[in-house]
Amino acid sequence: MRRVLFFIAIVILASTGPVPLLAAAAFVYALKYPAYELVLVAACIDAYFGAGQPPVYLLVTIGTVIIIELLKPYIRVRERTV
Amino acid sequence: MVAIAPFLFAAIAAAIFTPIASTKTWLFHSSASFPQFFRDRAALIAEVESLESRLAGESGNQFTIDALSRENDELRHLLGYEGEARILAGIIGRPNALPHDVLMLDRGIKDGIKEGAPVFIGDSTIIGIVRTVSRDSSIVELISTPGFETTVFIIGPDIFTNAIGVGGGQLKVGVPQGISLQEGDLVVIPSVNSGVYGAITHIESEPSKPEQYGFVSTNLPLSSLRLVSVGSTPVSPVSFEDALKVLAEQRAALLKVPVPEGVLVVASSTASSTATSTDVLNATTSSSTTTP
Repeated sequence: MRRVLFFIAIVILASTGPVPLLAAAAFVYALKYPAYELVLVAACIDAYFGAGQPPVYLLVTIGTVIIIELLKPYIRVRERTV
Repeated sequence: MVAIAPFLFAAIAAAIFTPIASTKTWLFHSSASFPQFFRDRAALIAEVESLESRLAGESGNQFTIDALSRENDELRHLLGYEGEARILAGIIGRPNALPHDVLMLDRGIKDGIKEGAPVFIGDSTIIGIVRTVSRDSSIVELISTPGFETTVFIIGPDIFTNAIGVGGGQLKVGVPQGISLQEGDLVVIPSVNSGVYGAITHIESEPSKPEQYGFVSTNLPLSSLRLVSVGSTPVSPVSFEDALKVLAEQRAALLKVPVPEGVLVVASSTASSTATSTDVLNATTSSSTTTP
């Protein structure tokens, strides 16, 4: 449920801004969850707001999601179970 | 499938983002009683007082503007120019909030907005072109969008040059060092029957470099805009001769002086008036001295 609410908040930020807050929220979301759905949001942003321009948001999101997914095993805090 | 994907994503984005942007504008900027109830009352009172004082100060300017506007309409009517029907649209998204440097309007296909139509502020200042239209909203690519190239005419040095958008409502024009570019030089966009876009507000010029750059901004900041008008027909390519005609009209309008009625002497083909400018001035002076 928290993940869904977080994703909805990111979609709202994508249409209302500010962009730095959107970027920060998307980065935290990508750290917490597998953020492949952010690629769809970025594709929608570039298709609607950036028609005719290079798909900057899409490319940056794809790169960021891939890099974070690759680095996650090394940056995640290990939890000990007793 | 690859060719259809951008249109599919744009349609999905329009369906999701438009209601969100409209709701945000209604909550934070509308004058409806429900959102106003939740806004800061003190801030509203301060804003009202500030606007009242500004209104009192600008009433004189408004009279001049109204007189010029009436005269402009009369002259256009005399020349047989009926004008173009325009669609009023509200701004629900601005460049500082949206992911790209664009404007989002609350009018779309169902309101008659067409792709490629010019978007104006005031009566005749073009600020952008409609790039994407959905059913209920549209996206406007601003002239000042980074990379957007426009042909402009700078009044002062009287030159045609290309202006490139740099974002933030600003254009950048680059000219050789030998050309006298000054702050305050007016910039006109002759490709559309538009008024003065703005003036040069900042110049970057180094004697060691062969070119100098001027930055052009509009008189009205984009953040203060609430309404724009959208042309009903898309912009079509303009020939150089048509662009010169537009420029001639704009330059003539710049030299118009709002002379009050009764002082302006206009030659009439039927009337046999022997009044001279001196007589009119004396009549004006005597009427002003007799007025208590």
